[in-house]
Amino acid sequence: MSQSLVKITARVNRMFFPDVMRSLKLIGINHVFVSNARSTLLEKKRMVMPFAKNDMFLHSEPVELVTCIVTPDVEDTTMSLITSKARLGSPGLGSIYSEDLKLEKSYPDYKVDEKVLFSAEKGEFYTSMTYICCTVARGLGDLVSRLALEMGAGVPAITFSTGRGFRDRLGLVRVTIPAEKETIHLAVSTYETPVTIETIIKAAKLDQPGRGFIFYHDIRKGLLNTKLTRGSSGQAATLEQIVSALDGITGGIKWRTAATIVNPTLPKQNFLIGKNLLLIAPEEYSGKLANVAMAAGALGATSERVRYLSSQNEKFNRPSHVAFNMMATTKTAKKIIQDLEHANAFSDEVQAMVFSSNAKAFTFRA
Amino acid sequence: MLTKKEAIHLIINHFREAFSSQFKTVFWVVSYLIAFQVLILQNPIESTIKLAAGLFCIVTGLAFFMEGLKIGLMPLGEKIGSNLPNKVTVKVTILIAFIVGILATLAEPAIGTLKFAGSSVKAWNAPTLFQLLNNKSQLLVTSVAIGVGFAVALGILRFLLKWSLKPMIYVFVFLVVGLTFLSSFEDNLLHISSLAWDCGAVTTGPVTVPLVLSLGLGISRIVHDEPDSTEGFGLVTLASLAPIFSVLILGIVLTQNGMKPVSESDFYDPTNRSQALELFADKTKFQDYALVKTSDYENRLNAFDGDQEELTARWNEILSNPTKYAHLLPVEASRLSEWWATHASNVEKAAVNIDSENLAQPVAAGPETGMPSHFKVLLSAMLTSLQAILPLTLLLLFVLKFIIKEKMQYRDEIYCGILFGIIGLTLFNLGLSNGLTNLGSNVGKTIPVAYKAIPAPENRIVIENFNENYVYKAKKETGGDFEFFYHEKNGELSRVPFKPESFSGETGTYDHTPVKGPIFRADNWSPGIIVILFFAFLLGLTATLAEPALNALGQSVEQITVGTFKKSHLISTVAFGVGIGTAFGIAKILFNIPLYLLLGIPYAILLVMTYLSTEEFVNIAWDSAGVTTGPVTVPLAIALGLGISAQEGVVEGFGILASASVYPIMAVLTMGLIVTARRRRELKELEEATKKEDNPMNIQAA
Repeated sequence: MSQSLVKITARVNRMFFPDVMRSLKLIGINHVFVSNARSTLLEKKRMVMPFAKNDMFLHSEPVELVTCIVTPDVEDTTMSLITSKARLGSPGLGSIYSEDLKLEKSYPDYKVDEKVLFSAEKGEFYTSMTYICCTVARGLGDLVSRLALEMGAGVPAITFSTGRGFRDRLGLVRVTIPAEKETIHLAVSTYETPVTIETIIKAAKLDQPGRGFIFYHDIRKGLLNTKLTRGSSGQAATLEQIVSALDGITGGIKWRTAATIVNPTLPKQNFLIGKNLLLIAPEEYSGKLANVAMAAGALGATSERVRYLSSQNEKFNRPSHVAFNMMATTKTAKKIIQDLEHANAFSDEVQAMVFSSNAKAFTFRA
Repeated sequence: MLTKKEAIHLIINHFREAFSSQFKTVFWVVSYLIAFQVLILQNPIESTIKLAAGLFCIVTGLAFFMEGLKIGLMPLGEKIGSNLPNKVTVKVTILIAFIVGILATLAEPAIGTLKFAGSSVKAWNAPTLFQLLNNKSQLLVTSVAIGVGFAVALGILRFLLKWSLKPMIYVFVFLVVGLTFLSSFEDNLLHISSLAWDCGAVTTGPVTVPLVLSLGLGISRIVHDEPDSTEGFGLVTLASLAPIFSVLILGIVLTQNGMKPVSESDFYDPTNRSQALELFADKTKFQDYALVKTSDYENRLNAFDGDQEELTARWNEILSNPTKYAHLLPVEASRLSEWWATHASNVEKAAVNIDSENLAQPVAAGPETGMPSHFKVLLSAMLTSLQAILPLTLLLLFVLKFIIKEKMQYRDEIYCGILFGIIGLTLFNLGLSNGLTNLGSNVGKTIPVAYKAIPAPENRIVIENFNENYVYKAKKETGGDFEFFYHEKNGELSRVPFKPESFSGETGTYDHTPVKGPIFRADNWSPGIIVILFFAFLLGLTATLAEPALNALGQSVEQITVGTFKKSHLISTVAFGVGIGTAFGIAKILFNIPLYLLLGIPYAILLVMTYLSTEEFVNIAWDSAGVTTGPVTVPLAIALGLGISAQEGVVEGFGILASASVYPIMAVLTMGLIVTARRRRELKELEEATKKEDNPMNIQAA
């Protein structure tokens, strides 16, 4: 029933965004989801502040998160094309990665991009990577991303999202818990995953109620952004360039294993192994569909605004969509999809679609 | 589910956070004003408890108001905005936008502040301006409302048709600056042009801005598919530029047939009577005005067509009912006799039979209603906030229910937010009128002491049964005599200089108002002037930090740019700009700089900068100009302007607000140009660094 697909996510500098979009359309990729994000970097302070805690501050750049959902056949071409057009080969200009994904259900007209009109020269990508997605209260995003940068784990991208779940079950008292969240998207080497996750959980206090949650799953392949600091250092080769070169020489990022891997000491029962459902729906129906999914037993959801740019459907004139990420057990995932279908989510009028992937999540009382 | 205890804990925590974050915004302006008054001007704080209570009200009010905006008013606006383009035709959308604009203006209490700013305008100096602020003020409000309505409609149309903001800015700025320049050749219009600019600055207040902003953001989110995320801004810009234009046009129309500025005596001359009467609702108003505002007895008599009996009768009527005529009289009832002594001519003093002892008695406030005065104050603050919030939200709720037929997901939150908004704005207004504005106007009144000597009525001495035997003489170092006497008050003996002109031999009263200052050397470029300009800069800067509308804009900008453009960053940049603008506005009054220069030069620079900047920064920068001048800045800046213009003898204190709105645009655009240039440079460096290893991929036909 469900179709195996690949979700490609690229973090693209604003300057190259139009070029990337044009090229994708040119080779026949019809469905692209775009969301606004910010990418953070460490920057050395120019002035010496006597009482400052550290000498680096966090700099933010606007970037676009470009997502395409395609069949495995065209994965390489699409990734190589985006890499080339968005100059992702240069450290500091973004990153790209692909994940396994299944199409569970969609509106009838939705045709997955399975063919490309041109084949592109194959780019080189690394494996053994993990995608970490962490949702925290608005304002804590910088804390988590600084942590990731200082650990050298990778360059995070941050999007704004809205939390559902715990908050909705309260009465009017919910106004005291801000629904606004920040979601930190991070691709790290698999060897660094446990220590990164543990550090983030501790720093963002995710083991306390209402603080947010974190989930992660494997990445098929990708390119990491290795430039963690802003500006040129004046040296012949920056540390980032050396790291990048070593990645190339060793043919992977395995050598970047953290020196000490701490065994996670977090309560095991709080880790949930299940499905991450991705529901994409037009904005005007999103609230109603989210209610259906929550009622069917989804464990907390975060919603993000995305622009759905489709060239397949010409009369399609409403780019403003909402993407829900929901964690669920395999059993409830089925029920959620069924309930969504009953609520006409996949009709021609509503035009929603739902995808699933295997993931592990951590949250309080998970 | 939560237990009751957990819920209470959550609520208390949340309120504490909201309170402390608002406390931080107000802290700077308050501590600055207090420090300036106590340390530099060396004036004591009059009523500490009242001030503290007022400040508590401001902080609590802001906390409630911002919460109300966040959970109620802004989601409502955004919901409607994001549904309008899909649910109704373009014509209906435009119509709704027009009505929103009109209601927004009518709800905005700040228009009243302009009347206050124009209170020192004399009818003969600027007849048309006087008319617009008094018996034709309804016309002024209507023209502003139409201007704003048109602007909101145009702004929404811009979103629907995906037009750029830049050409609109060019056209509007060209029109308003051009008209202002032309107005500078005609005395009557000259004053109106200042009013027009300030109208543009005050129309966009703490309720209008968030609502209009969220409406625009909602619409543009649905319509746009481009990555440039700041396209939802720009409505506020148009809503501040359009009323300038509409008021200027109104002024031009009115001055065509209106009275020209004349001298005071010509104004009361019977030949000009019919034109002069046009400025007032009726003849009694004209005569009352003459009695109170005219310094010369001959002119007063002229207003009564030489009928001295009628004049005496009117004086008797006014002076025996000081409470009833409180709006007319320039001083409180308790200080009426003092005013009468200087204002009335000997003829009037002899003819009008007033018991000056009786007048000196303070009159109990509000005996006619029987309400305690603080309750009345609360009621009026509440009415103002209801007037600001209700019409707009009711319209939006109506549109939601009957036109786009949608339901809000969290309806209880919306109602709770509207309630919070009303509570918050009530407390905020209450606190402003009882705390901050008092403090500001005290400083405003006394600040010229920095560079010139001004009377200090709080140190006035009145001694009955005085005679010259008390006076001692001393030899001055420079040669002349120095006369003084000793005065005992509360058991303390002080030495008071004796001024013969303050002593009336007939009544035996020594009545002396000492002067204060100048604290610094008094000449054209004295350090005192620099102190004042610096004071104005810091006042604009600190007051802006507490502006709720700017806070709301900052939040929206942070939201839309996903945190790349931080709220605190925007607010501090804008505050810096407002500081510079306030200082220039004060300089206008001190050095009598013409308005077209004060605004023309910066606007010319702005046009160039706008041309060079990216759309992203243009939208944010121009919008921040509209939001800066809100309920905190406006009364403080106007109090300062009036204080100085009263000492300098300038006709009106307008222009400061307009000037305070220009420089924030420049500040934000400058920042934008720097950021954009740096981004480009970095990108180029990165590309060059990797050019050699990069092998551009070729797309080949499959």
